[in-house]
Amino acid sequence: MNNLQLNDLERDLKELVVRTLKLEGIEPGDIDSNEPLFNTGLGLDSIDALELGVAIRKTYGTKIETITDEVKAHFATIHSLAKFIQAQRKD
Amino acid sequence: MTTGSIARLFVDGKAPAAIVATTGGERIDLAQFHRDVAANAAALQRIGCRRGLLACTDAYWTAVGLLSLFHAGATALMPQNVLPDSLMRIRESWDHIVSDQVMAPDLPLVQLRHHAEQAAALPALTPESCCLDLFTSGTTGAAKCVAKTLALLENEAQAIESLFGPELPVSNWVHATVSPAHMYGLTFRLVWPLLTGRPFHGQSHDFWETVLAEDLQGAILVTSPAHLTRLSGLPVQNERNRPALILSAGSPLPASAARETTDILSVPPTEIFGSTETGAIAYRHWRDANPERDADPAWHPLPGITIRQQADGRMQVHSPFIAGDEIFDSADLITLGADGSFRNRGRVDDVVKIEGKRISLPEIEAALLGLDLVKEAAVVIMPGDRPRLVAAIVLSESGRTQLQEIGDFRCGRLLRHHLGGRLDPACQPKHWRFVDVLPGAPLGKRRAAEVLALFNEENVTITLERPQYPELRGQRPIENGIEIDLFIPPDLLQLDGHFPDLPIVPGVALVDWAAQYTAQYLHLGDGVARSLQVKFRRITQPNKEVTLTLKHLAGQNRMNFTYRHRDDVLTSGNFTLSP
Repeated sequence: MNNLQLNDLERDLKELVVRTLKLEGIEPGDIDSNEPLFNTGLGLDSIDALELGVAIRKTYGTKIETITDEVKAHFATIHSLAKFIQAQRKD
Repeated sequence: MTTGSIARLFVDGKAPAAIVATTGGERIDLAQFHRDVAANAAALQRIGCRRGLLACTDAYWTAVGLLSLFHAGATALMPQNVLPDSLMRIRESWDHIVSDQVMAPDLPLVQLRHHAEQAAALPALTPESCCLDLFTSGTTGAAKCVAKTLALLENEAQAIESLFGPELPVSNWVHATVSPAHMYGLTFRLVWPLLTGRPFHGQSHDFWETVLAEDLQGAILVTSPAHLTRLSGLPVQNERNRPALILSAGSPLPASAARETTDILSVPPTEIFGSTETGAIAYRHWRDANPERDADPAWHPLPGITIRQQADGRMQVHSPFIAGDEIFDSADLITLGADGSFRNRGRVDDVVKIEGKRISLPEIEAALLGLDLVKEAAVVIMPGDRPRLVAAIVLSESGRTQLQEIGDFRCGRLLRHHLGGRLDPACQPKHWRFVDVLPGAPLGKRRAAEVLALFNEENVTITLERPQYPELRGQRPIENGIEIDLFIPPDLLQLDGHFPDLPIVPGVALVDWAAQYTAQYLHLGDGVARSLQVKFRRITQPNKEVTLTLKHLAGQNRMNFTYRHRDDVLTSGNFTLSP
């Protein structure tokens, strides 16, 4: 598995999160790939989740056609999002 | 179809195998619903519950809790949200919490659950004596209580059925992205379906991806602008995902979002206008919107409701779904049409909404001041296409220590986290500034402007001179003209001397700006509008972004100008350039 690509994707996603959600006083590099995006950790809320969904669809053209719990799991951390997007690209 | 009755749901001998709802991935039939209500009602009666606080996240359990309380002869209460601090603030109003969740162990809790034993017979309820008290955000920051009865809820749902029912088969499922614990969700997710025998899903959806993973064909989707303004990037859905009815409420849907909804889901949305106090008041179908015209469709009152326009422009609602005298004086400003339909022109009071949720700034400031980390706080709304809450904070000693350790961003998030025990996410400020002294005087409009100035990166110095022009936010050339994005500042000089409670940009200022920008950007004319023709369609208010379109009619030596806010035309007209 290509860890280099995954690292790049994680870095891009961190930038996407900071830019899309207009987070201030934090650099993409300050986000830990494994910290929870919602509630604790980065502390994003349900509206942020919707905005992030739009940005990811537009940037990566991903289609999530699956059941509820899996979607929530994909959005858990930067790392899980990157893995999900990478898996979609291979299809 | 004939509507049934929730009061007689378990006595009219309906098919026990009819599906009522889903919860936790299971389908619940009427027999199971009956068993659950009967057993939980008996449990509530045994412990002597008189006032039960409903705190369920699932719509099925909300229905079980509500009917169990009614059958136990108790009053049901619905809090603003189910966060621990909010429940404790109205502690004297309730004796037990009725929930599908595990709560703090020291609270008197009745946890709702499935029951397998043979159900006891449940008599018909008297709808007029089944009481529901709903808490909502008042203007002062204290929670306000609105009293309803099952009779009012049933009447409202009957009016809704007479309106939408004829086009909707009763086998259609109800899906939702909104909470069942507020008036809109309660009515459309639960009361209306139960009354008419439509099955509903207990779970609410956060993500579009999970909504679209459902079989939406012919469904009723109960959603809000929070979701409908964030459809971008989704592919056009096929027939399997075409709902029969898409409902939106909370705040008006922008025309662009209505268009996007129609493009992606192939169904123009239908909006509901209402409030906790009144329930549903009116509806509008976007399929009725004329695409050739800029205006959004007019609102039509629900059957049985009459709308009047008071002398000062405020709406008065005459509705059989309001407790007591059936009249409600609203703070919404309207223009009433000859056919009884109306258009909304904003509000007269300070109640503002973020993502469709009522926001009380004093309440948020009080919550912040209650934290150890905070010494002083000023919360204001940053206007724009998506208004956001922002806060200027003077930290306490311990707050400063935290700030040094974790930095601005995480300090802001930490404060949000602490507010999470009391306030909905929509009521938590998104952006923070940590300052030594709060700018301006407390409670003034001046303070709001100066706090906002802290968030304007290009303008870090706070100017004390009152602006006479809007702020320039962007510009684009168009054929024979230009489009300019303007922000109307809240301390604009020209706002003075008009209605004290309703700041409006005077028409003369709008015309003046159009002429001046024509000279400045297009080098046409001398900044004066001659032989002016102008139509004021809607008021232009401060704290809003407007777009001014200037177009040169070369053959006639005239300029066309149009001010828009989002898709609404505010003022349009034309004038002759210099002779």
